[in-house]
Amino acid sequence: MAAKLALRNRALGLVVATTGLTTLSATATGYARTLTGAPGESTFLTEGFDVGMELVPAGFAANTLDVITGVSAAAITVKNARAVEVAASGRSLSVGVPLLRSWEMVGLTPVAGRPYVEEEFVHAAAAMRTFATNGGQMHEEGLYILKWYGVSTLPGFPVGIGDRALRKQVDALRARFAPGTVAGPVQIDPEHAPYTGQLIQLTGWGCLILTAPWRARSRNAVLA
Amino acid sequence: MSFAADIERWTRKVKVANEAVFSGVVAETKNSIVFGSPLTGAPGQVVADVRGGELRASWQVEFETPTRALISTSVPWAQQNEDGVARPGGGPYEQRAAIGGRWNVALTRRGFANIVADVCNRLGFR
Repeated sequence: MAAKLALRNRALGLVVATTGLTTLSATATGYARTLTGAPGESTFLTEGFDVGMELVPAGFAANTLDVITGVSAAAITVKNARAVEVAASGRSLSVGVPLLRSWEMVGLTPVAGRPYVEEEFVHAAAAMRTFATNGGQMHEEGLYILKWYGVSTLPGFPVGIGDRALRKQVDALRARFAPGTVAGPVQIDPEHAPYTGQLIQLTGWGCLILTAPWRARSRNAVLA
Repeated sequence: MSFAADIERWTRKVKVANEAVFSGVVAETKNSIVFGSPLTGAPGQVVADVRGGELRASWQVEFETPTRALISTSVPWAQQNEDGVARPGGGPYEQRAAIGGRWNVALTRRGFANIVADVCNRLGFR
C-alpha cells in the first residue's frame, strides 16, 4: 500500500504546463495575458499549453476547470463560456494529472469531453536474495500502470484533435518515472525504463498507457 | 588433438548450448504468457472465458529463424484482456473468469531476465 501511494503521489506531482503566479485576465472564451515583447518572456505557447489539455485556473473569482480548445502566445480559449474578469496578479493556470481519477478500488464514471486516468498497481515476481530465510532480503518487482484518457473530440475540431496534447502529457509523466527514481519504498527499475505503447483510439477519447517497472527490497519475516 | 579440433569441439558445444537455451526460453516465455509463472508473476490467460477458453488455446509459437521466435495470438480481444481497456468505448474491460488475469505479456516482459536465468540454471550453465 505504501508503495502504491508513493508511486501515485509521484504521478500527482506532475506539472505539464503552468504560468506560475502572474497577472492574468479571464475572457468570455478563456484567459489572456499582456505581453511586453521582452526577450525570453513567457507565453502560453512556451509554457507548454496545448489543445485538449485540462486547464486548472487558480486565483480567479471562478476557478472552474475546463478543456483547452485553442492556444496562442497571449490567449487560451476553453470549451465552455466563462465570466469575464479584469487582469489581476496572483493568478495561475496549470495542467497536471486530470482531476477525474480512477484509483485502484475507487470507481469512476467517465464524463464525456473530460480527460481521466486509471491506475493499476501490479505485483510481479518475488524472490529471496540473501540468507537467512527469516530476516533475509526479499526482492520484489512489479508494474505501476497509469492509463491516461485524453479527449479526442472537441466542438469545431476534427476527431483526434487531442493526440499531441495526450502524448505531451504522458511523456511528461514518464519523465517523472525515470529509471532509478526512488518513490517511498520502491525504485523505478534502473534496468527497465518505463514505456508507453501506441495510442488507443476510443470513442471520444484516446488512451496512452504508461508502464513503469518498479522494484523493492524488504526484510523477509517467517511468522511463527 | 589439435588446437583447431579443440576450437571446433568448443564451437559445437556452444552452438548446442545456445540452441538449448533459446528453445527453453521460448517455451518458458510462452508458458508464462499462457499459463502464468512464478518467475514473472504473470497470472496466465483467463480460463473458461465466455468463449470457452478461446484465448488460452490461441497462443502459438512460430520459429522465424534459428534465433528468432514469434509468440502470438489472433484473438481480436486479446489486447483488451491484456490492458483492460475496452474498445471502442473506453473504460474498464470486465474480466468474467475467476482464473487468469491481465498484463501477462507485460509481466513476462518484465520478468524476462528471470526466465533466462532459470533456463540457464536448469541446463547447468550457471
